[in-house]
Amino acid sequence: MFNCAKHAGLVRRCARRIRIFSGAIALLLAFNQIVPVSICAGDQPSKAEEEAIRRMNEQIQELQAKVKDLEAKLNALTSSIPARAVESSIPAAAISSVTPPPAPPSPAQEPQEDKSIPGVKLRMFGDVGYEASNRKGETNSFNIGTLDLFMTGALTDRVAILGEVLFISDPNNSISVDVERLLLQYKQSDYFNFAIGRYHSSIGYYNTAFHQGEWFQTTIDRPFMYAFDDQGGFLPLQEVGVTINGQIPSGKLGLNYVAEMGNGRVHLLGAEPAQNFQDTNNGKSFNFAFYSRPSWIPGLQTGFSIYHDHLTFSDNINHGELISTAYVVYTSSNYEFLNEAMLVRHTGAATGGPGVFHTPGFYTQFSRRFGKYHPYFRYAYVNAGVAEPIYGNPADGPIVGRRNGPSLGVRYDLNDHSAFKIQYNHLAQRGEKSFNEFSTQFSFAF
Amino acid sequence: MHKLILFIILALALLAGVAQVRTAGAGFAEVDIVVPMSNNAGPLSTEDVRRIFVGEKSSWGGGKHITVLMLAPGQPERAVILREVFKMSESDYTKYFLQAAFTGRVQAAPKDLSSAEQMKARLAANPNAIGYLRKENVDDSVRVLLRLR
Repeated sequence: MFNCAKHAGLVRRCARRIRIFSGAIALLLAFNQIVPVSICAGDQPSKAEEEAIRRMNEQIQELQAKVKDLEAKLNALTSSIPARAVESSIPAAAISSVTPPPAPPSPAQEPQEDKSIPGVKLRMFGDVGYEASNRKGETNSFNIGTLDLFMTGALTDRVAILGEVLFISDPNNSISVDVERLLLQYKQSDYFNFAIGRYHSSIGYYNTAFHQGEWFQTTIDRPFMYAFDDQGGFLPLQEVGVTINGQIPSGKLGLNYVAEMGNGRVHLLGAEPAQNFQDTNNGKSFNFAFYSRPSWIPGLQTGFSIYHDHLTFSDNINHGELISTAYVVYTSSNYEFLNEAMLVRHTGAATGGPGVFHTPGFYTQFSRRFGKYHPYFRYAYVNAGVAEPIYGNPADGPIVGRRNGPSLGVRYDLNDHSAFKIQYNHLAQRGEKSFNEFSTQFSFAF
Repeated sequence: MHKLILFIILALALLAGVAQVRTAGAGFAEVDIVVPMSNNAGPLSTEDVRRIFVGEKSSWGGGKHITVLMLAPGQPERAVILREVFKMSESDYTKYFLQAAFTGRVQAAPKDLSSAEQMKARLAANPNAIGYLRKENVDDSVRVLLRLR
């Protein structure tokens, strides 16, 4: 039996659904048309714009013709005057005040540039900040961090010098000077590079990715395991010796290697980290690192390193040191995700007897960029045993112990060469009361 | 049922919209990766060009050092190269080369040139140089190794 009321209700519901679907489709079609059109709007100039562009082109062509004419006149003039006469007749001030327009070099000019005296490129990095914490015995303070003068110079196409001098503010308020890196580099090819001098050891990822430049790293400070010697660090991050590195032909895997041999570091933590002039023993430190940058995942790098050395104490007690690290990092314009782990193995007890001591550590750091802001989070952990012969004896320097805690912060890029950072740390340590720390930093790079 | 249909329509329409946006955003004038005519390097892939421009590949097959030339910031061809080859913004590019110099991987960032004419003059002066030009500016003095469309 035909039910009129039921039929009318069905029709109304259908009509409503059709209206909803039609509205949705119309809205989305409009969206699809509007967005691309707005993007392409700049690609389709109107007639007035075309006319303006045509006039500008004509003016550019006229100007180019004038410049060529002037260049020809200038060349004729300079060739007719002896070079010495030009040098003596034009005052130095006039030379410095009149800057000729940049002209494309002639083929004859290029070799002259190559034969000129090698120049030095100088760059400067630095940071200043403020720090406050509720740690017992510490006061809130403004501080200057490190002034870093970085120099490079090419002696030939294949030989270059790299130098880095630091002016570091010490906890006792003095400024010390440190030759952080000094390397004579020889580049045979992309597969073999050789360098001799003082360098940052290729242990893990962080040490050679960021070196001493605070501006390069997202956070204010380095993770515990990569802290430098003057900030409680315990790994041999600086070495004097030779280093070779290069790519391994591996296609899309993007494999690279590093092999280093150096003096190793002194056994006392907090002392001068590298043995700059004389090794305390004849054994050398060896470090091998391999990493991959697969081309199919731009920004990904994964690798490991193994470092071995013998540490000799003043009482001639030797300790074997083996440092293994592994890491997976991903960096892109918007993301930074760093993950590294290490295991340090020392053999021989402090008394000279047998013993094996392991110190594990890791950190994970994540950052996401929002425009000029980079909020970040890091958690770091290190755990050295109480009886550790190198890291646990207060007579040999600061105790490493167990340290762990999170860091939260924001980096704000003021421009392409400077950044402001603000960071909160919470640090727990074995045998000490945990504390909170608040830091700010302004860092720059030129 | 009608919710499912509505969802499908929404999803399809959004996909179509995103596809159109991507197509519209990808539109740019052709930029060619070029070397001097005297350089006998063969055609390159985008990955090869990326490796050369970021300093990972620093010498030609014969061992000659590659000199990378860039147009100065603000030029449309540079924007194409940064997007299609480096896959970086201008800020990322600055930071990348500062960091690469700091680590000792490269001596310095590529040279910035102010015009296509200057680019051609530099290319003509150095057989081991590599640069890029808009299609309209390519002439007999250079050889195209890769076309970025």
